[in-house]
Amino acid sequence: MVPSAAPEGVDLVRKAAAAGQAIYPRGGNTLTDYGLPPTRPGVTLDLTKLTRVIDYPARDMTITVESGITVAELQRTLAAEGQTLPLDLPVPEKTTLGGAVAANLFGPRRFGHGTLRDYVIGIQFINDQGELCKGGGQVVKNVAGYDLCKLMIGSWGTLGVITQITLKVKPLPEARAALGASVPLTRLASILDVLHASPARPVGIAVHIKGQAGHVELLVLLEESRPAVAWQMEQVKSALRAAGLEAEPVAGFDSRLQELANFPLSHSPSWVWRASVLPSRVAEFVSKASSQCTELLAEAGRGAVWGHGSTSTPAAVAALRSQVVGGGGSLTVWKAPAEHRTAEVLWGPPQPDWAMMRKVKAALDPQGLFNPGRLFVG
Amino acid sequence: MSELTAKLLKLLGPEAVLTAPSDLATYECDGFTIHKQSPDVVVFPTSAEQVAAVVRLCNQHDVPFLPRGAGTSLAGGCLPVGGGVVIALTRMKRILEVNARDEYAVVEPGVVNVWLTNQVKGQGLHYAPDPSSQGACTLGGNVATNSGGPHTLKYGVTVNHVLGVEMVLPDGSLLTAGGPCGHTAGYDLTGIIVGSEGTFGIVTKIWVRLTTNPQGYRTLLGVFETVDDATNCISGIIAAGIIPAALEMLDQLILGAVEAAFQFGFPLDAGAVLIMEVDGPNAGLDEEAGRIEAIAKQNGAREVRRANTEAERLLLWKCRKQAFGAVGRLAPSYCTQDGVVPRTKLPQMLRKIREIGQRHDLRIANVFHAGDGNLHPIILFDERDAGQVKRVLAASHEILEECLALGGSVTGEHGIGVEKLDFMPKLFSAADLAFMGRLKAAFNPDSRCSPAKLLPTAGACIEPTKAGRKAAL
Repeated sequence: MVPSAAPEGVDLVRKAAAAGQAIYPRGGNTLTDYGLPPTRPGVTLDLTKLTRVIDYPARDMTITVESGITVAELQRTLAAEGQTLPLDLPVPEKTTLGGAVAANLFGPRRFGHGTLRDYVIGIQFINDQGELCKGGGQVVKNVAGYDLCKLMIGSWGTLGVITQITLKVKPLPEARAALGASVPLTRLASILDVLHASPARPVGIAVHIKGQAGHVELLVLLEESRPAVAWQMEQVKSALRAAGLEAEPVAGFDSRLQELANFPLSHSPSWVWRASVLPSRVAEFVSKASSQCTELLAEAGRGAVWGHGSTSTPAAVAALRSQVVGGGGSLTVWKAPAEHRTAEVLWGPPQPDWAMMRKVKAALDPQGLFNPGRLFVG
Repeated sequence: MSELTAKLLKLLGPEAVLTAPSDLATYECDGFTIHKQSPDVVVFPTSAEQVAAVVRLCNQHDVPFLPRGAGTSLAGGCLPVGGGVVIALTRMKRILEVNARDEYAVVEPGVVNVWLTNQVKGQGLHYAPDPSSQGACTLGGNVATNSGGPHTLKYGVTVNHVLGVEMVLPDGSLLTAGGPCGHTAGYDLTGIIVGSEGTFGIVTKIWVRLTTNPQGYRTLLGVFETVDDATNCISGIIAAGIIPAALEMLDQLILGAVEAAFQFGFPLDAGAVLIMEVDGPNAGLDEEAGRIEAIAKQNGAREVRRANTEAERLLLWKCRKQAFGAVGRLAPSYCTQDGVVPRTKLPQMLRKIREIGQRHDLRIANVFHAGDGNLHPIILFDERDAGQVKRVLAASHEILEECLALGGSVTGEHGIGVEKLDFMPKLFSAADLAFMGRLKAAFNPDSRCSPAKLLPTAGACIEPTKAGRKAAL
C-alpha cells in the first residue's frame, strides 16, 4: 500500500489495525535482512511516495521533509543552498531518510559529525491509534516534552510509521581532504594512538581490511576552513612519518567515502555485524575479528566496527561478542543465514535494559501492530 | 508521614535527613520562586542502593518523591508538588572515572558541572555543555533538563554528550542504559531519559563524553547602537555559513548591571553587544574572526573589540555567565523565560518583547543564546507587589505565545517543570500528549515520582498564589 501523503497513511493504518493486521513500514527496502522475520500477516506500508520538501528556511539551517525522500535527493536539495547533512549513509539513491532514522545508520564521519541523533529536531509519525503525532519542533534548541525524536531513531519501525522529519543541517565545509596510508595490522594500535595525540581533529578515521593481507587501509578525513585543513594535513602527515608511515593525499575521495558508507549493504556476504568498542580497543578487536571476516571496516574515532563474514558460525560470532562486551561494548548481527536468525545470535543473551524497552513497546504499541517480532522488544 | 520519616531516619541516619520546618524552607522552591511548596522530608543518600531503598519506602507509604540537584531549575522542576520526599543528590558527588584516551568520564549526579571540566582540563579536555549556572548546577540536573548553555550552537546540548545513565526507576529497581560506548541496540533509553525532568526516575550515575579542547579561540565583542542591528548581524553570520562556537547577546539594561558588577569596560550607551567566539585549529581562525568583524561592521557595529588574552576572554565570559546574578542590582526579583524562535525571527521577537514590556509597564532585560534563537528575556519586578506579579505572569505568557506564533518553542533548555505546564497543550495536540503520557506510564505508572511535572495532568491546577516568600523567622 503506497500512500502519497500522510493523511492517506493514517487511513491505511486505521484500516489495517481494525482488521487486526500488522503494519510493516518500508522505505528503500535495503535493510530487510535486519532483525527477526515477521511473525504475523499484515500489510506493507510503502513510504516512497512521501518525498516532498515541506519547509526549507535555509537561513535557519533547518529543513522539514517527508520521510520517504531519498538521502540523495535530500543532499541535492541542501547542496543547492550550500548546506549538507554531514552523515555517510549507504546507497543514498535508494535509502530514505525515514529508513536511515529508523535504523540509525551512520558511517565514517561519525567521529566529527555524530549521528542522526545529533540532527533530528522534529518528527511526525502515525501511532497505533491511527493518529498523526509529533515530537520536537522546528527549532534547534527545544526541550519541551519527551524527546520522541530519540525514541524513534533506531526503533526499526516498531513504534509507529514515521511520516515527516525536521533536521538541523550544517554549511558545506569550505575545504575537504583525505590522507591515505597502508598500515601493518600489528602497528595499527600505535598508529591510532599517534592520530589521537595529534592536534589535528579529523572528522573521520576509517580503517578498512580486506582478506588476510596483514595490512589495513587507513583513511583520515578532514573538513574545515581551507587553512585549517591544510595545517591539519601537515600535522597528520608528519606525525605518521615520524611513526614510519608515508601518508598520501587521496584525490577524488568522495567515491571512496561513499563505498565505505555502503559497507553495511555491499557484496552480499552471508554475515554482517556491527560492534561498538572503545576507540582504544579498535585495533585489538579488528585484529581478532580479521581471522573470521572477509572484510572489516572500522570507524576508529568513536569506535564502531563493521564485519562481513562468509564462513562465520553462531559460536564464532558469540566469541567476538563476548570480547566486545567485556570491554563495555556490544555487537549486533545485521544479517545472518536464515537458519541462524534468532534473537540470541543477532543481539546476544537478553540484556538487563531489554525489560524496560519491552515496557515501552507494550505501552506504545500494545496490539503489536508495527513490525511485530522484528526486534527483541516484542 | 511520621512513620515514613522514622524509617528514613533509620535507613540513612539523622545526618542525612531534614525534617525541621526551618530546614525544609530552603527546599520549598528552586530558581523559579513564584511557586512554593514545602516538602515533608529531605534526604541525602550517598549511593544508588540508598536511593532505591528510599524510593521503595515512599512507594510503600504512597508518598510522592522527586530528585533535586543544586536547585538551580528556573522552571520549578524541584517544586515538591503535594509535599513528599525530596531526594537531594548533592552528596553523591564523586567523579568515578576519567578516560582521556577514550574521551569519557563516569560521574555521580551531584557532581557540579564545572568541577568535571576543572578535573580534566589538565589533560586537554573539557565537558562541553556549559550552562551559565555551571558553577552551581549538577550533572544530574543537567541530565534532567537536557541543559544547554552558550556553546550549544557548535557543540550540542547535554543529550549529545551523555553516553549512558544508571537510574533508579520509580518502582525502586535499577536500570542501566547505555555505557562508555554509548547506546547500540533497541530503543535509545538514554536519549529519552535525558530531558525527562525527573519523571522517569532518579539518575544515580552518568557516563559522559569529554571533548578535546580547541587549539585556539578568537573572542570578539561587537558593540551595536540597537538590538535590531545586533540581531541582523547574527543572521548575517549564520547566512555566511559560519558556525561560531558561541554567539551571545546582552542588551543595554543588562550591560549596565554587569558593568557595575564586573567593570569589564562595557559601553553603557550601546543598545546591545554581541559576544562572538570561534574556535578550532589556529590556522584560519584569524581569517574567520576577520569575516565576522566585517559582517558586524556591515550591520552597523560601532566597534568590534577582541579579547586579546586568555584572561580577557575568561573575564568576558564571566560577565556573560554571571549576568543573571548581576540582575540583583536592577530589581529585587526577576523572572526569566526560555523561549526559542527560528534565528531569522529574532529581530521581530525582540521588538515584540520591547512592546510587551512597554504595554505592561515592566522593564525587560535581554541576555541570551542568540546563535540558536534561544531567548532569555529577564522581567524585572518586586515580588512583594502582587500587582507587579500579575503583570509579570501576563507578560511572560504573551512572550511565550509569540514564540509559538513564530514557529518556535516555549523552552530551549530550562524545561517545562511546573511553570509552563499550561503551554503544553499549545505546543502539542491531545494525541501527542496522550502518547507522551503512555511513554511516561511505562516508567512511572503510579506518578509518584516527580508528580505534576512536564505533562499536564487532568485536574492538576497550580494557581499562581500570592507573591512573597514565607517569612523565615
